[in-house]
Amino acid sequence: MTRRMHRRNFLRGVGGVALGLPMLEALLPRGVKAAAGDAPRRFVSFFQCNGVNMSRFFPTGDYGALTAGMMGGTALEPLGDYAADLMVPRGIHTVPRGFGRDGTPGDDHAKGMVHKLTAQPCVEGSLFSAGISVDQEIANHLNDSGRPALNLQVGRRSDSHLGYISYYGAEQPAVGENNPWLAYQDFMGLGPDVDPLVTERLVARRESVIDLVRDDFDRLRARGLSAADREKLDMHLTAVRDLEIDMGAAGLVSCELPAARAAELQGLDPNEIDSDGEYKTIGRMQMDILALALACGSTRAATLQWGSGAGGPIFTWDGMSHAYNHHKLSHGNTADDNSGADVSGYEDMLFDIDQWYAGEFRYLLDRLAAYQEGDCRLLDNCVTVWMNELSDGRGHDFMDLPYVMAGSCGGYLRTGEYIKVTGEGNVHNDVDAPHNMLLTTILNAVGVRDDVGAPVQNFGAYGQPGEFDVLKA
Amino acid sequence: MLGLVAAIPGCYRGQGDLDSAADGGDESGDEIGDDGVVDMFCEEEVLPASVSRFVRLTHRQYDNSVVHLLGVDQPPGSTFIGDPAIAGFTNNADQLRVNDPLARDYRRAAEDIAADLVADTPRLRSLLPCEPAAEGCAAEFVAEFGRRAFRRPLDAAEQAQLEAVFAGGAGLYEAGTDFEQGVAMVVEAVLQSPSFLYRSELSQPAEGAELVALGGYEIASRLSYMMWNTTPDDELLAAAEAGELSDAEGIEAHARRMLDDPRAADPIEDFHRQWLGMSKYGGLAKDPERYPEFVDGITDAMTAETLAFTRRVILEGEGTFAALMTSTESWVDPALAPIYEVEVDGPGPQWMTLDPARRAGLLTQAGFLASHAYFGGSSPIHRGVFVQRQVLCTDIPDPPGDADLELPPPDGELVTTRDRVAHHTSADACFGCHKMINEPGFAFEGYDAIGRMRTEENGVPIDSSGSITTEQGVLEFSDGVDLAHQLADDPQAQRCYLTQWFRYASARSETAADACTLDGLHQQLREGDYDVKELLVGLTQTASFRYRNAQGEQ
Repeated sequence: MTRRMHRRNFLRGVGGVALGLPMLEALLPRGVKAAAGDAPRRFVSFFQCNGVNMSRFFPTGDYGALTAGMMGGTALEPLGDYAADLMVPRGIHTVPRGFGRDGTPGDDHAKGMVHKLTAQPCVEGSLFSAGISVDQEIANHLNDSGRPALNLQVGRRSDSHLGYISYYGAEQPAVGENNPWLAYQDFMGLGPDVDPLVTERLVARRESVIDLVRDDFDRLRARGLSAADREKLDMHLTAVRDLEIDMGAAGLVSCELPAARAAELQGLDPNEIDSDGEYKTIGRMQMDILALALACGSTRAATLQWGSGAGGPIFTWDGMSHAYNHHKLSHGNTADDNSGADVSGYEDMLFDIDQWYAGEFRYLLDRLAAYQEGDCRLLDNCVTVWMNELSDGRGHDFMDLPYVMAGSCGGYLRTGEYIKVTGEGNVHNDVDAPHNMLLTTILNAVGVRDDVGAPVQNFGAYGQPGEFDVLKA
Repeated sequence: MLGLVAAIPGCYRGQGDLDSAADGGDESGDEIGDDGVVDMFCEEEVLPASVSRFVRLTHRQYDNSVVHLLGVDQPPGSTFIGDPAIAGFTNNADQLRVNDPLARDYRRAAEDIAADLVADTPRLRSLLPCEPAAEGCAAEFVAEFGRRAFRRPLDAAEQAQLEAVFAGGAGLYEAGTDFEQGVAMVVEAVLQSPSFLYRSELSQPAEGAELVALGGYEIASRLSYMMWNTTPDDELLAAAEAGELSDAEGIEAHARRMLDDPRAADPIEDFHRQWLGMSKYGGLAKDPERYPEFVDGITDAMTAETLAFTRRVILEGEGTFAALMTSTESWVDPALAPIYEVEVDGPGPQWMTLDPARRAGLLTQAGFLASHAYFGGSSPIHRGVFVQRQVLCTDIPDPPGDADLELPPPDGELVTTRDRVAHHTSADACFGCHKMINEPGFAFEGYDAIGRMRTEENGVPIDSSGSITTEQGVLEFSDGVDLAHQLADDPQAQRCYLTQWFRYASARSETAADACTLDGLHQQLREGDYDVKELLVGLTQTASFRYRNAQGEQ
């Protein structure tokens, strides 16, 4: 079964070379025909752990139009060229709030990881999320055949609650792929430059397997099963059916990275991918794949998680030569548990790390801007959010969260602004700007609708209903 | 030796009748009443907790299974997307699911394994029960491989379908004869099938019955994955076929056979690795000025030491919980020699006996001590929490988020780590928990942040004395070795170790329905010498191992 692809737009690839790539019809909101300016909208999370140096992160000057000048000298300086595309909101706080305030489990690192994309509490015991994350919610509604969000990671993974930001549902963490070659192969389906005969054989084998596996599932499901077992088997069967979709693309134009770049991915040593020395290299490969996946319509939501909660590498590149890892520096200490000695100059080191991440965020924006979709760039059809576990790392603070948003998401959001979201005088508060409202705003920006086709009212289990109207165009 | 059966009074072992449609179920002789079945360890009827009928293989089990079935050289489990941990164990059945990334991993693995097999003629031929040219050999291969891989005989529909898959494989690979490609095609399909990827419990309850006696093949699967973390061997499958696994004695006989096999080391290592939190060892960093002996690769030596210790004690040595807590045998790598203050001759690790005045079992091994310590010093709080949570199964909550986790520096009267911890946790709000945490942690103050012994700190002699309250009362101890020896015989510690094994072996946390059984097994083990093999055999004798609660199935 093949899908007809309509050649509509030209997409400019990562090397600046125009690739004739079709706009996948399946990406459009269901039942809607393609029209100019109707490009699908996407959400990207660029997730950094451990908080920032709050005193030097944000733009200087007054709220209002954001300029490169206001970003000079701050962590955001590398993003100056994108000032007109950015929105920096102030005064948002995490919900559930920090430990001891909302009676929900988890320390501040657990909360920083678990709540950020979910606005759900941690479940007692596992400390995993009690509900789905916004990226998977978007994927469920808008991805072809409900394919999950693309979750990528950089660096060492953790299998505790500190290792995940994305959740398929209650206590179902989405494990991020930290090997770019594997991520690329998954996304690519059958791979580039494959001999048609090889493709044909592979397709035949996969069809044979699918038939057998489906029958096997049918036999198992025909028995009296508990609800939990039925759900478990259904999830697996759905995942297997999703794999079939790749086969549908067999023999047609596929999205791919330039051969030289794909070769670099293939050449990675799988035993080294999570080492500090590879952190920047892997991060950039992941961003190439992420941008390509969005451009090719493989997914409407993607997350890139840098490090794990209370983790992070020892930065010894791009002018930094630290002796301690990010988490230790976020506490200004030689040890993760504050038992060591003070690290003098740690605030400057944190600033350097924040500015380095700004540079990597800029790399991602460059990739997204490189793809044209009709009159706009892919960047304009996305809302790409640089977000963090915490605000001030040393204090494990959950208030006045650093957010940097890029792209108008198809014109839904304002851009080019430095904007106060809270109504309180002091942006450092937990009063009126819970972050779940940002997630609700994002869902509506991307085009998710509720069961009756109305805008989403309230995402998450804590916070308040409604969107941050002040962020909307 | 059927001592397990004879020891419990009041356990009915006559001929009973069973409502069960499963094969072999009628001869077990168990008494099934209205409220459940009489469990061997519990004098009441027990309705086992409801559990999933489909337990996905862990990645380790997948690897062992493909090595066992196909002689795979480099099993792919380490490339699979990881499983999250519940109560410290990554093999919890609820969390073992197949989502999109894992389905892709399984497909990739199956395709690679099949492609490698079809290119490796000698290995492929070694899997065949007949000559390819012989009549009906394809069908024979399908039946035998299918039975081993699905861990039960194929039914007629499955047999026919897999024969069709075999026939369709010709021409679909880059190498091999048509027959060989058929073999590869069957392998590629079977490795992605839920009947391979899950231990499936398919026996159906009789009309209206709540309880199902698990069939022989289902028991065989449970036994082989519990005892060896891999597929049943031919002997176990034959036993299932012959109905030997339909009663407790038959199960016991095979459980003991399997524990005598070297493959039993796999789950023993995997369990201890998770119970002791050993995955943390690899990420440890220590102050190079204070601990120059903490060299690159030393954590590998620490890991190897503890795993070798558990294997040796349980499978070759005394085999008791007490031995785990007190034995002074150690697999000492030269890198560890300065920590244990011994001499190792030769370049590689060797078995040595450490000084029993200075070391006792798992709690004084370098890996445990170093992973429950800071970059620059010991951590009585981490060690104390471990003793309470992992050794005694005491429910100790996490510290409040606004707790100041930074110890005051040495100053004035606060000279030693003990002084500083005691002072810092003395406030009313803290001491409620810390009175339980601190002293068992202080017991190990005689070992520094890398596990080496010390007798003084900042010029002051080490004080490792203290007390801990368990169910048997207050235990006073003079140091870590003393504490370890007392915990070795403590019923609460023993019961906790049993509980931890129950969680790992059953792939679930215990519920109220398990309490009576576990209490009974615990008592029985205490009447012996809390032998770990007896513990594992005992777990195969429970109602929840042998029966399924069919409530809630529609």
